[in-house]
Amino acid sequence: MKMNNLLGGLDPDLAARVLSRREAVMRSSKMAGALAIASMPVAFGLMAKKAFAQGTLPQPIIDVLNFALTLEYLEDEFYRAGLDSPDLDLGDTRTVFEQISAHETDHVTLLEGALGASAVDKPTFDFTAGGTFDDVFSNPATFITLAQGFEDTGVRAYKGQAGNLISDNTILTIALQIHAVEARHASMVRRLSQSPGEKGWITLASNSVAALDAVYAGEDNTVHLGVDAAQFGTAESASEAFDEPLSREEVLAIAGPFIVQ
Amino acid sequence: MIDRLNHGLRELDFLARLAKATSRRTFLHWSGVTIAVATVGCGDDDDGTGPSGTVSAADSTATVPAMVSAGSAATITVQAKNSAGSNITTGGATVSATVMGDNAAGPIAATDNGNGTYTITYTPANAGTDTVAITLNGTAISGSPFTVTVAAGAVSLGTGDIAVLNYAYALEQLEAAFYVQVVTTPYSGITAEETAILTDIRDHEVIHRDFLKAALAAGAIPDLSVDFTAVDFTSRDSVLQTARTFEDLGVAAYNGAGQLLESADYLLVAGKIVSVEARHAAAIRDLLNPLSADFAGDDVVDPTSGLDRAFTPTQVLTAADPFVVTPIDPSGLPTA
Repeated sequence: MKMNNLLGGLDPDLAARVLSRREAVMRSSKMAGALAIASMPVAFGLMAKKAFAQGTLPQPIIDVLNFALTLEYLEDEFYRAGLDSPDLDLGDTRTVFEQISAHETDHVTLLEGALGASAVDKPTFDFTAGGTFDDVFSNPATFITLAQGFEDTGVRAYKGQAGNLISDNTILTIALQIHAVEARHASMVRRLSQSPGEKGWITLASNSVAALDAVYAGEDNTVHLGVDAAQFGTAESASEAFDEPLSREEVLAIAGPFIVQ
Repeated sequence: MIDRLNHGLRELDFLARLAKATSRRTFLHWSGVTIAVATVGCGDDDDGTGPSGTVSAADSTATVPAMVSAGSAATITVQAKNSAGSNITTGGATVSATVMGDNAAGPIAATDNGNGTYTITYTPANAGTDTVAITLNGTAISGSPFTVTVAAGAVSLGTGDIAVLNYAYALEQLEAAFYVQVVTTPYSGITAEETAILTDIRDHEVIHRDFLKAALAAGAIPDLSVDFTAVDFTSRDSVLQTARTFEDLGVAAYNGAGQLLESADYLLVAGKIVSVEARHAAAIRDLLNPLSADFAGDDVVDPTSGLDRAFTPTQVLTAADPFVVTPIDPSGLPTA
C-alpha cells in the first residue's frame, strides 16, 4: 500500500464543493428531496418541517449537515458496494456489515430530508483511492481496514461539529444520536480487524494500519478542560477514555482521496 | 390622669412578666376589670429574679431541625432569653455550636441577627446522627446538646451546565463502581478477552469519574452510595447484561444531555466521552451475542432512522434508581 495516498493532497475545491449551498441547490433534484422527505422518520420529519416553516436552516447548519451528508454518502456507498461484491467473502461478519449498511442508508435519508433542496449531490467515489486499496472489494482485510478508518473518522467528524450545532437543540441531538451509532460501528469493526488484540477503543494515536495514521492524529490527547485525565489512569487508558474531534478540513483531507468529483 | 394611666401600664407590664415567670394562669386586673389572661411556660430553674435585659444561657432556647438530609444545610436558630424567659431583642451575645457524631465540626460561630436571635448553619455530609452542643457566652443553652438525625440526603445536582456535568458525574460514579466490582470479583469462566475488555472499561469509567470530579472541583456532588444487590457478580449473564444496560443508558443520557449544555467546551467533552460509552456498549453487546447485529441492535438504534436513543434526565435517573441509594435532586437541571 502507498501509505501517503490516504492522507494525500486535499483537492482544493473539495471543501467548497461540499459546502457550497448555491451549487448544491443548482445541482440538486428537488424531486429527490421531496421523495426523501416522504420516507423520512417522524422525528426528523418534524425537525425538517420546523426548519422549512422558518423558511430555511441557517447557512452554518446547512454547511454542517451537507458535510455530514457527504460522509454518509461515502459510507453508504462503501458498504453497499462491499455487500454487493461477489468477490468479497465477508463470512461470519456479513451480518455486522449489513446492520452498519442499513444505518448508513438511514443517515443519508435523514440528512437529505432535513436539507431538502439544499442537500449536496452525492459525489463519485473511488474506494481504491486511486489504486491504493485495489483489493478493497475482494479482500475482507482491506475492506475492514477501510471500514474502520471511515467509522473512526465519522465519529471524529460529528464530534467536531457538535459545537456548531449548539444553537439548534433538535439538530444537535440528532447529530449526537448519529455520532453514537458511528461509535458503535467503529467499536465493532475495530474488533473484527485482522490485527491481533485490536480494541474497540483507540489507544493513543496508534493503529495497526499505517495508512490510517491521519485518522488517528491527535487521539493521544489526554487534557480536557485544563485537566490531564492521565493522572487518573495511564496515558494509554486516558487516551482510550476520550475520543477526539477533527475539523471539517481534517476530515475532508482524509476523505479526499476517495472522492473523485 | 396621664400619670395614673402610665402607672397602670407599668403595673400591667410587671404583672405580665410575673405571669410568665411563675407559669401560672394569671388574671390581670386593672381598675376592677379583667383585661387579660396569660398562660406562659418557662424553665423550672427560673427564679424570675434576673434583670430583664440580661441574657441567661440556661433560659435561652434553640430551634434545631430533628432531621436533615446529608448535603443540605441544617439551620439552627437560637433565641436569647432573660432569666424570666422573655425574649431578648438585642444582639451581642457570643453563640457557637459544636457538632459531634457523624459530621463532627466546630465550634461554629453563630451569625448575630441583632435582634436576640442567632443563626447557626452547618451542612452534614454523612448520613447518621449528630449531637449539637450550643453555648451562649460559654454556657450551654436550654436543651443542649440537641440530636440531629442526618438522612441520606437528596443530592442536588446544582443548576445550569454544572448540573449537567454533575448528572454525568453521577452516572460515571455508578458505572465505575460497577466495573470496579466486576474486575475485583470476576465471574466464573471469564475469558482472557472478557477480562481485558472489562478491565479496560473499568479504567475508562474510573477516569471519566475522576476527571469530572476534578473538572467540577468545588461544584462536584458528593460520592453517591450505590447498591448492586440485584447483580449476581458470579454470573456472566448477570454482569454482562447489567453492563449492557449501563452502557446503553450512558449513551442515551449523554445524547439527551448535550442540548442542555450552554458551553461548547463542555459539549465537546461530553461528546468525547459519549462515543467511548458507545464503543463500550457495542463491545459488551458483542460479547453477549457475537457477530450478530446486536452491537448496534434495533432495540437501541432505531432501524427506521438509524438514530441511537436520547433520554431525558428523568428517564435516565428512573432507570438508574434501583442502583443508586443516594437520592438525587435533579430539579436544577436545565430543561432545554
